[in-house]
Amino acid sequence: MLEIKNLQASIENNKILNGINLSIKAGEVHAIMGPNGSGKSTLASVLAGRTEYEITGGSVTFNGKDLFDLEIEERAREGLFLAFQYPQEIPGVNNVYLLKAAVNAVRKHRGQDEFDAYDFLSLVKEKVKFMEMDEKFLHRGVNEGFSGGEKKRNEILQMLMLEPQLAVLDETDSGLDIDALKVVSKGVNAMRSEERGILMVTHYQRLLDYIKPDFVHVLVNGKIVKSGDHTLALELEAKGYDWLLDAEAA
Amino acid sequence: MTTSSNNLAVMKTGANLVLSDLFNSIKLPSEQQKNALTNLLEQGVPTLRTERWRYTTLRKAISNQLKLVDTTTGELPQHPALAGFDAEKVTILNGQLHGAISITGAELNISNDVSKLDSHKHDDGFIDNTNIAFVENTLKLDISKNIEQLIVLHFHHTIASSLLANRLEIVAARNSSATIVVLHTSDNDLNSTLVPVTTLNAGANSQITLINVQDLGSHTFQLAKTHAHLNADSLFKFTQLEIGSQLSRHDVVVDVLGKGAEFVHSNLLHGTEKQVLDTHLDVYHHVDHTQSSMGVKAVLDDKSRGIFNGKIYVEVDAQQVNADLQNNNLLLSKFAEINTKPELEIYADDVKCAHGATVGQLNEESLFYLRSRGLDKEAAEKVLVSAFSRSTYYGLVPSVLEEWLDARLGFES
Ligand SMILES: Nc1ncnc2c1ncn2[C@@H]1O[C@H](COP(=O)(O)OP(=O)(O)O)[C@@H](O)[C@H]1O
Ligand SMILES: [Mg+2]
Repeated sequence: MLEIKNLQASIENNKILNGINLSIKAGEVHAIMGPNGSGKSTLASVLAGRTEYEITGGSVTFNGKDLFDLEIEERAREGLFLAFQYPQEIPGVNNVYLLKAAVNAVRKHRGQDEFDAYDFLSLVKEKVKFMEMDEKFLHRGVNEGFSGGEKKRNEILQMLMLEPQLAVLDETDSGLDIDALKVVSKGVNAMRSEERGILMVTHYQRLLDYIKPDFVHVLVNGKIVKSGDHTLALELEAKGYDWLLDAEAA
Repeated sequence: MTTSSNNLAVMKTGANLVLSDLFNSIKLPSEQQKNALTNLLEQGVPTLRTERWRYTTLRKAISNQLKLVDTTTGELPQHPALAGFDAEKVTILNGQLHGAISITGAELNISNDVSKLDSHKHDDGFIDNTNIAFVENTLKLDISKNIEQLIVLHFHHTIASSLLANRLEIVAARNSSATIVVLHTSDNDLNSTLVPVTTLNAGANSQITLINVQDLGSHTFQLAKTHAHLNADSLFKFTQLEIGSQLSRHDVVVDVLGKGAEFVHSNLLHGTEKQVLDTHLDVYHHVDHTQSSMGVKAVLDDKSRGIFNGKIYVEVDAQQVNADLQNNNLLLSKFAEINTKPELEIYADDVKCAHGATVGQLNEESLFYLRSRGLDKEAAEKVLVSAFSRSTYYGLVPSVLEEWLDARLGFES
């Protein structure tokens, strides 16, 4: 579903990604871990189409299409979803309006009819309940004045509504208390399926207690230096990142 | 300062000549009208060298094509903005009043008399003088109690190449309240110049909401003034939406005269094509314990220009004043332009005043976020523009008007 080959990216002439190789197949859950500043968010942003980064080498195909040929919104409509590390506040744009516009844009792309207002609203309400959110969040501005945890829940709510093929979750666990972490994990686990891929980016292994990945990769200085199964995360928890940094330097 | 030789020099320039010739075609001008003309000509029609008119030329607005309106009849318009209103509506067509208001506590009358509010020295008086010199009938709206029903006044103009001065004087009695919608429209290709003046005398503890929608035709000029006197504990909410016209200059002057009085202002300058939208706002806090908060937003596309000049004055003894003036501007095209100058002039020492202005394009992060959810670039931009613009009228105007404004400005709901 997603093939990343030797991906290199830089910003303002600083190389951030130094040749990433990663293959995600439908049904798989991958976790990318790594110290702060290793390039995790950069990778997520490049996949979603943020334009500040210059792609200096390599390729990414998504369902057989060259990802870099697609506009930001085309990637979303093809089924790529990024849950942001820092979701943007957009005052004056209704949360529920955005959800509806987003869902309908994706449906239209798939050749489906737009939702009628009633069906849409009952679906949203069901998902809001599932995410243990108050319905009043639907009528607030997008992320406007939301707490950190509420923003993360809102990202997952959007994901549940959009039902992406591939969900990229950037530090979705950061800033969550244990109850919120459980709810967010419940949302992510609800998305796990044979047709869907999930790429979780995280600094801590805490999240992986709730969402068990099939593969764990360690990103250091813009490169994957080690891959393994979920036990690698436990090893990192015990040993930290230093032994890998040393290995990288050697 | 004015001598007769100055006067002559002034008279020679085109715009002054146009106005004095026009005045000569009035059959029986009153003393008030004659005085206003004298004042007008003594000062002269402002030019680009006049400080308060630096960015707005009157060259086209006061052209020698102009004539005065003969009393005529015309088709009474049914404006879509007013369709859904459950309100008392009257139309003022080409200066003539059609219809009546039949609410107890609100009386609308026509009068030949002008009761000008005392003007502060900073106001150059041009619009007022022009209005009084050429006004035929003054509409007097007296609010004497709490009025739940909306009052809607629709000014519509259909006579080409004409100069028309409408005047609306609102007097709100002590403890009264009302919401008044004033809509200004004209035929789209109408190349006329309208000089509407609205005054409000807000009595003690009165609450007046005035919603002024300017949606004139794209060839029409407007030189408008809104002037309010706020007495003790009164609340004046003024929502000003400048949408249409070729050029709209609107002077807003508010004298806060009584303790506990408050002014709340929201203003949208929505420019497209080659429109020029110019608002000059002057708020004078004459006494202590008064408040004002003003939010002015311009959304300018194509080659449109916005001018915003806003000033808060706080007099020496006006302690404990709370005043805030914010001007935020969105430029949607590289040819669009804004000249903005928010200012404070404060002579008291125990006050809380803030002012600021921003000029920008759409927020890149917000655009990225919306597009990452599947909205195309154009749709995402529209969503952000509408959010910005709507903040000037959502929750401040009746919902039927919100809907109409959304439709008029092309915003999806
Ligand atoms: N917009 C930017 N401008 C300059 N440097 C950046 C920018 N974004 C990221 N970087 C740099 O790239 C590196 C990787 O950042 P990031 O991808 O956010 O790391 P992580 O998410 O793993 O913590 C850091 O050194 C960071 O300072
Ligand atoms: Mg990060």
